[in-house]
Amino acid sequence: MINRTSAVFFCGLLATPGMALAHSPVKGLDSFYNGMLHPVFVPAHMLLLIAIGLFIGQQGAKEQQLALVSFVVATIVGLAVAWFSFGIEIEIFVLGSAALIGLLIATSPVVGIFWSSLVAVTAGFFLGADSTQEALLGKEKLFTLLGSGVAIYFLLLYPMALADHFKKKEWHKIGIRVIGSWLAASALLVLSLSFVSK
Amino acid sequence: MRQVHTLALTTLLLTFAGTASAHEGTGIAGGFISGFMHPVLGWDHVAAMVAVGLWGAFLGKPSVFLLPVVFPLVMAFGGALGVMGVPIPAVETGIAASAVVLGAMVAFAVRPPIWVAALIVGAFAIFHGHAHGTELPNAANALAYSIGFVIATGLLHLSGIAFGLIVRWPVGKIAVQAGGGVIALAGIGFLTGLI
Repeated sequence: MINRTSAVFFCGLLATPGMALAHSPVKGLDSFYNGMLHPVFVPAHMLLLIAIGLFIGQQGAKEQQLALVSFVVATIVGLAVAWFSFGIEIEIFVLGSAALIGLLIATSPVVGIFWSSLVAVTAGFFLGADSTQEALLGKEKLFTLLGSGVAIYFLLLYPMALADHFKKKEWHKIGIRVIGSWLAASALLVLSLSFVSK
Repeated sequence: MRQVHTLALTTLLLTFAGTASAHEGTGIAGGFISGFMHPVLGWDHVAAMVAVGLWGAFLGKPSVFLLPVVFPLVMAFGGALGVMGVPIPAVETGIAASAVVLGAMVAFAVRPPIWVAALIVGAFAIFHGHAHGTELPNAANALAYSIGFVIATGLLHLSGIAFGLIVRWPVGKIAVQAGGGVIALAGIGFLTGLI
């Protein structure tokens, strides 16, 4: 009988899953994993990560290497800035970068090593600097930022690999450009909203 | 014993009672779903978006690629006007007219130069963007809403392109033109208020 009662309870538990609340630290996870989830739960970060990943993936092998290194270095610098958390709202720059990079993906111009690296540096810096969580302090904050840094890097690699893989056929390349136009359109709309709200 | 089970289950369900989310939803998921459903639930939007893809496929390369890139970018401009509260006269009429014009372009196999096609599609994109943009400030999460409606718009283009790809066969060409005709007639229905 106990088994039957347990089964009823178990079925009830399965039927009533709770909702995971985004952005705020997830209970039960340590600082590092909470930091890793940060770019996943902030749509503006995800938008910029997809944009910069696709953009770097569109470039040639030489441009890709330097852009990737520049991105990592700039992200670390941005995270260092986030550590001091000056309290400056920079999400507008994250969205602005996503819009600009989305337009670059859509138009797909030949930008060369310097410009592709500069775009990567800009994106990396803003992503890192906007990863601050002001409520945290000390070791907890350090591990959260470390987690964010690791997640930013890995989340960049997926769209980058996708764009790099889809460079062989013409319609593949166009598909990436279409996604770029979607990213730019989404970011531009929210940018206009943030300007109106101010 | 059965009553004990019922009581246990009822207590459990009451303990885990969630909040009721009405229509718009909340947070990122709610914003995304609201945005995604906005173009999908409006037949005038659906007809016009499918017509863009259909016309692009009918015109062939490079229009099949160019039009779905031009549309969201110009739509963002229209959306920004909507967000800023800049009035555009007769937005709904413009959206209905887009279904008539774009459907007619496909039905009558009109093949203008690519820049003219982009101009026509871009002009109508402003009306569609304005309609979506007006809803943006009310969204649970503005960015998720934007991403949702841009993706939905793109997928509707893709539906048109997918259908339009049969244009390479003689029977397919007739089917595509007929599809354009249906969209144009639906557009007349939207304009006159019959649909």
